[in-house]
Amino acid sequence: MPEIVSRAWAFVTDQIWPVIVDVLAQPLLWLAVAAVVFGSRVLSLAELWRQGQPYAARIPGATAFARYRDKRAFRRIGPAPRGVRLAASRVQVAFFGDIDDKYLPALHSLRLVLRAGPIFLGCYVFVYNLALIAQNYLERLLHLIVGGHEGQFWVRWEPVFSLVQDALVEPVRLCLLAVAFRRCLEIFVQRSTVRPGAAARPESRLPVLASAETGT
Amino acid sequence: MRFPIRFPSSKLAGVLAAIALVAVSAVGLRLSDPKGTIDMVSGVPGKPVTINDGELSVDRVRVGTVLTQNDEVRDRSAGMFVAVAVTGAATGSRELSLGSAELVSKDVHYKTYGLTSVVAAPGFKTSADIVFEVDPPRIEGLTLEMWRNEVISGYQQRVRIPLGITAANANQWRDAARGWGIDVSLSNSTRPIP
Repeated sequence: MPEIVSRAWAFVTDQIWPVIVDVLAQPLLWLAVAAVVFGSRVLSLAELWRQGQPYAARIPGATAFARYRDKRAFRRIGPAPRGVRLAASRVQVAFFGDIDDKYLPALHSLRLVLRAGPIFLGCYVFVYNLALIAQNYLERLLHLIVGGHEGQFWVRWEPVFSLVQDALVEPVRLCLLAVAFRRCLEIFVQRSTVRPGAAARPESRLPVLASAETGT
Repeated sequence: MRFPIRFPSSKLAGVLAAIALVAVSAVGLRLSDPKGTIDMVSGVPGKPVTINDGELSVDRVRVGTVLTQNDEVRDRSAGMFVAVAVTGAATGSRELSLGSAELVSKDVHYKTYGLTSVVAAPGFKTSADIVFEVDPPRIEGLTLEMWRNEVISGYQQRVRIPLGITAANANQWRDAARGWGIDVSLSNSTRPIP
């Protein structure tokens, strides 16, 4: 029994885990990173557009067009005492600051990527790994041309060979990430369109999202 | 712009297709992985193999169950000893240094018996006996592999010389070893290249 368990554990650690980390998780996380870099504002904008109204409109009496009774109730509540507000802001920064700044954008990005569907993700992972495979064969080709040498040689020349490989493969990888992210957004918009109760003009969102990417 | 390709709408088909693509990617990555690849330089016994800093040749292979040094028994083996006499010549402008050696038979890797290295200054050649203790039933296809011993290494040359022990003659080698002593010199002999 321990033999079977140890073999199963060895199979998981030697065969399955590297596949999960290198083949599957790495491309997906890079796409999530691309989404964080380009798309954190896009997501919040999208959330606002999906709601179809600004945040203040959801608080009774907060807008200029609210009913008189709601406005009076809103004023009667008034702001909290200064000490309470200070303590609340400190608590928010201490406990929820990182969540807002780091984890929520990352979580949203990962959710955006993972909800793109298995076929898209499978194709993306495949093409991403094709780029890595091409890089591997490029390295093998360089090894074949240069031949085996001692460590001192590689310490001196490895950065040059890495530069050659990166110059050829990295632009492809970055383009793939950009295209895949764009496709993720398209899929997101398509899903919003078919969802009941979605906003009326879904096609008009994408240019706005694209402009948010470039910061315009 | 929308992608013109339309895939089957079945979720199961999508998941299966994704798993297949990930599996193909994993196989491709595994096959193309350049890490751990070695520049194998093959040769045959008796003929020098040219490598970066010089040449290496296997001169003689001896087998036995007793290891002697200056006619004194140094060790006995329940298996068998294989002593490979090699000569390394630094024909280039740099020192030849081969500090690691293994005997390989299919999936079995035998480490050296004691520390042995072949080091020769430029213009010199060094001969040494490299001793291995091996399992007699698993000696078919024994091949000597030698390479430079380095803390940091990259794509490295490795000399690979089969010793000529095949499935057909393995029994003869085993019989030859039984009860036989090998007298080895644990110090290298160095001389100038003529």
